[in-house]
Order: sequence, then C-alpha cells, then structure tokens
Amino acid sequence: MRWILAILTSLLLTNCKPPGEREVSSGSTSAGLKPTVRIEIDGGPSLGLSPVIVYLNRDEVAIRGATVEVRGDMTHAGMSPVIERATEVEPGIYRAEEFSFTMAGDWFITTDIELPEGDTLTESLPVTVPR
Amino acid sequence: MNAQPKRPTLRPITEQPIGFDLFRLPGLRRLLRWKYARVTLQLPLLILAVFVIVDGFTGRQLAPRNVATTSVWLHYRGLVVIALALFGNAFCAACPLMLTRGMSRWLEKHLPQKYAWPKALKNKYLIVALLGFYFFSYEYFDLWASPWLTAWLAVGYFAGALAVDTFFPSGTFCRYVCLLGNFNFAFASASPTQITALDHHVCRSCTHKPCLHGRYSSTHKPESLPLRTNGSKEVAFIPTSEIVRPGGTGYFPGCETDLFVPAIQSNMDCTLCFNCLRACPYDNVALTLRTPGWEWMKSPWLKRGRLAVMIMGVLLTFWGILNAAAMIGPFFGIAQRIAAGLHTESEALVLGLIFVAVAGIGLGITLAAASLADFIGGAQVRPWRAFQRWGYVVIALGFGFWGAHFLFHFLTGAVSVVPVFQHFFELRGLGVDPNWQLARLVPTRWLFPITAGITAVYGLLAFTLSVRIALRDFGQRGVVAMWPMLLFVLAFLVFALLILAQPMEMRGTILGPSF
Repeated sequence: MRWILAILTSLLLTNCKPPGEREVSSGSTSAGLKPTVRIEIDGGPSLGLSPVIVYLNRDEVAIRGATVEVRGDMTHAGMSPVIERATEVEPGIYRAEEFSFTMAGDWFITTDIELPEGDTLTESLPVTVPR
Repeated sequence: MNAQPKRPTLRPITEQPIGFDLFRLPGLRRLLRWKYARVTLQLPLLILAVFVIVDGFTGRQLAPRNVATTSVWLHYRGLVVIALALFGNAFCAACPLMLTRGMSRWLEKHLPQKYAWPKALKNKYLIVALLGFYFFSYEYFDLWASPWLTAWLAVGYFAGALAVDTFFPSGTFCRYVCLLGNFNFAFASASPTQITALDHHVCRSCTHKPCLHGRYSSTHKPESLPLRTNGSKEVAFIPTSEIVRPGGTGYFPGCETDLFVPAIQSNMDCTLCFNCLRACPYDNVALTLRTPGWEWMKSPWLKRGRLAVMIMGVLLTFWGILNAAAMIGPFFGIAQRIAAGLHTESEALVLGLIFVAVAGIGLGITLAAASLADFIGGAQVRPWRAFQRWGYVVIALGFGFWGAHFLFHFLTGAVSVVPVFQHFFELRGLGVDPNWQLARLVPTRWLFPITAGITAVYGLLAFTLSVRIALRDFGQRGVVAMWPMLLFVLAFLVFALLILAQPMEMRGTILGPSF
C-alpha cells in the first residue's frame, strides 16, 4: 500500500508533463504594473565577448537604480555559469559589458533584478550560440 | 558438511588471480559478512535517488541547477568510471534498485508462480538493443538537458527492477535487462579486483555450494526452507554451529547471477553484492587484487555470455566514441550533411542512421582486423571466433575512452554539487545562498592532458594485450599476427585524441536548438 501511495504521489507531482519553466518570468513585485524586461545580446550571440543589454521599464517609464545580475547557463549540467553584474548605462538600460559565451551551443540567459523598492524579478531568454 | 577449510590446495577449479585479499583489511570482512551490509551500502544512493526524483519533478527545469541532471549525468557517471578503474563494480554493490525486493516479494505472493526468463533472452542481445535505444534517446530527447526526463528515467529504473524481479527469478533484471549494470559488468573487466575462492580444495569438497544456491542457518532446522536463489528447490540447511564466522541466522541468498565463486574468471555479471561471502559457510571467499584487465588474457567470455557479450562490449566502445563525438563541431557538420543529402529535417532519422552506421562500422572494422590477425597467424578464418579472441583489445580501448569522457565532465563540474544542493534547499524555503562559482575540480587547461593521458594508458594496455594474445595463440607467427590489431589500436587512439582535442560544444543543436 505504501508503494502504491508513493507511485500515485509521484504521478500527481509529475502531472504527466514537464514543468514549463524554461522561459521564466517570475518574482515578487508590490502592487501596481509589473515591470517589463527585455534582454538583448549586443551584436547577437557569438562565441566570446557578447555584451548583454537589459531594458527595464514600467508602463514605458524607465526604471532607474535597479540591481541587475546577468547569468548564462548552458543546457548541460556541470559547466560553470557566466555571471556578470550589469551597470546602468542610460535610464532603464543595463549593460553587462564583460559577458562572454565560453562555448557554442544552447544557453539560457537569466537576469536577476532587484528593483529600487526591493522587489525582485527574474527573466530568462534561451539563446543558441553558433559555431 | 564434509569440507574443512585450510587444507592443502590441489589444482584450482579454474585459474584465478593471486593477490592480496582486500577482505583482510581490518574490519572489512566482518562488516561485509553482516546480514545488513548491502542495505547500508545502498542507503546513500537511495537518498540520492529521492533527491533526483523530487528535484527532477518539482525543481527548476534548468539542467545545471537541478539535482537530477547534475548528479546523474555528471557525478554518477564520473564516479562510476573512477570506481571501476580504481576498485571495481562499486555502484552495482550499492545499487538502490535492489531495495525494491521487499515490494517484489510482496507482489510475488499474488502471482500463481514465478516465471522463467525466456531462453531466447538469456543472453546480452536484449541489452544490446536496449543500449542502442538508450543512447539514441539520450541524444534525441536531450536527456542530459531535462531534469524531468531524468527523474522519469530514475523512476523507470525502479519500476523496471520491481517488475522484472517480481515475475522472474531474482537477478534477472541485473543480468539481462539493466543497462547501467551491464555497462559496469563489461568495463569491470578492467578493474583491479575480483571475487575468488581462497582455497579451491574447500570448494571442490563443498556439498551444497551455498555461494551459488544460498543456505539457511539456525540452531534447529525449520519445518520448511526457502527456495534456492534460482527457485529450483529448497536451500540447504546448515546449522549455525558449522558456520565459520556465522554473521547471523536465517536465509542467506547465493549468487543471483549464477556465479560459482571458484569458477569466476571475470567480473562479468558480478554485482559485488557479496552474497557469496555471506553465504559461504567456510568463509572461503576473497576479494583479490589483480592486475587491471587481468581477465582480458583469459578469454573468460568464451565460457560465459560468448559472442553476445563481446558484441555488447565492442558496441559500447563505438557508441562511446559517438556519445563523445556528439559534443564536437565536426559531428554537427556530418549530421547536417546527412540531413541535406536525404532532404530531411527529421533528427530521429539522421540520428538513427548515424547510430546504425557507427554500430556497423565498429563491428565491421573489429571483425576485419581480428580476422586478418587470425589469418596472418595461420588460424582457420572464422571471423566471429577471431572477434571473440581479439575483442578484449577493443574493450580496453573502450574503457579508456569512456573513462576519459566521463572524467572530463566530472572534473569540469564536480564541485557544482555544492551550489546545486544549496539551490535545492533555497527553492524550498531554506535561507541558503548558492555559490554558483563552484564548479571545476581542476583548471580547464589540465583537462586535455588528463583525458588524453587516460586514453593513452588504456591504449598502451590494449597494445600490450594485442602482443600477448598474438604470442599466446600463434607462437612465433604472433610477431606478425599482432600487427592488424596494433594498427587498429593506433588508429583508434589517434581518432580518440582528435575528439578529445576538439572544443566541446553543447548537444541538441544538430538540426536546431534543444529548447
């Protein structure tokens, strides 16, 4: 009986389909409009230096003074992530100048954002780095 | 019970390695003869399996941040080859899948009978087919990138072990179905340890062969006895008073994969469960240190498993090459050229063709080199016989390459186990801040020298093995007969080093991204 319960619990947990979390946009923000995040790779993704630009606004008004960390993960386990702090170069535009793809293939760019009022926000972008 | 230990040894039942008995290490024999020793070994991997399943199903679906993908594709595989190279089949010894036995025994009670495993499947051909399907699925479904699928794989393994060993005799799953186990069996041939008999005279005069069939021991004989390990009839009752170092009372199962200790010449099918050690009433079982690859010179698979085992080993070697090559640039070029040539965008078709082609090429060139060597040596040309003579050379190369490949990933990300587990607890509300900078075990610039070094060491073993097999079987003509295999080894090494020297790229981009 315990085993049957365990199997049933597993099936409920899995819900027969994978959790769709690859393109995430999550976080906790206080009341009001949710900020809009747009991630771009300057010049498109390529092996080596590829600065990442993060556009951050709420209702088309630039959000200034946020803390933005850009992280690149490969789809394969075990490779070191690339983590760079982005600096605000213009109001609402944050740039991780030293961000660098270390390998060709599929990557996930994730931005962890802390807004000036303390709310947090995460956005991801799947990217293929050509050979 | 007419056997007495420590009598003068006559001619051994079969030639076994002579070396230091690891059970002589203080406390080890006593620990492993303890009835619950195996459960103790299995618990850590069972706990890990729970983490894999929970995080795979409910954690973040990003491979580098999930326990399922990280521990399975990075740590487990790396530690498996390290254990095989330095010790033996430790991961079968600690396999948590066998903890389903309690459940399968309960389920058995509801069955009218145990079924015999079909005779047609009592070989490794089913394993060969399953291995091909598994390696194909690994590439096609990007298992390495999916925590969810990896968790399902773990659940599937538990369910498979439970189902097979419920309907069929214990050990059927390990011997005829388990892919992980058979990978370990094939490459444990390279390991520096082996189960042996301390004194063959004791085994020769042993009536009940408990290491094979099991035994029941207590002070008084019960009214009914459990069945032998293979289910054929009741086990022998041996009173506790007649047992050297009893280690408890009750039923002590014998070898579930039908290995008779004094006849063992190979680690093939040995799960290092130590049932034999616990079942032997004379404490006559040793875990003997031997030269790595000792058995390759003894052609043991001719007596056990025969052609199917060698085909499995050779295909493991060539699919191992493919498994690594699928991470480098030239592979993508070839795949895309095949797709363009066939005017197809079906990744399944392209991958399927590549797998079949690699299997055909691998078996073909091994057969060709082996047959040529036999021909030059003056033997009657029987390609499959030649294949079984020289195939061990390919197994040595295969282990070296799998070892190099898995070690590459392990060294690249071994320490990521720390932030990945920190992340597991962070996601579930514990105030832990993962340190994602932890990943590498060694600097990147060391990776190629290490992996190339491992490949070269096993290449040297394969080289030596070719020379020794040639001189053993062909005498003076062996000096010439060895050359086809020596050239094979050389070509394999060049190809392997070329693959290892390429910059690694991520899978899943053959005909488009993996997401």
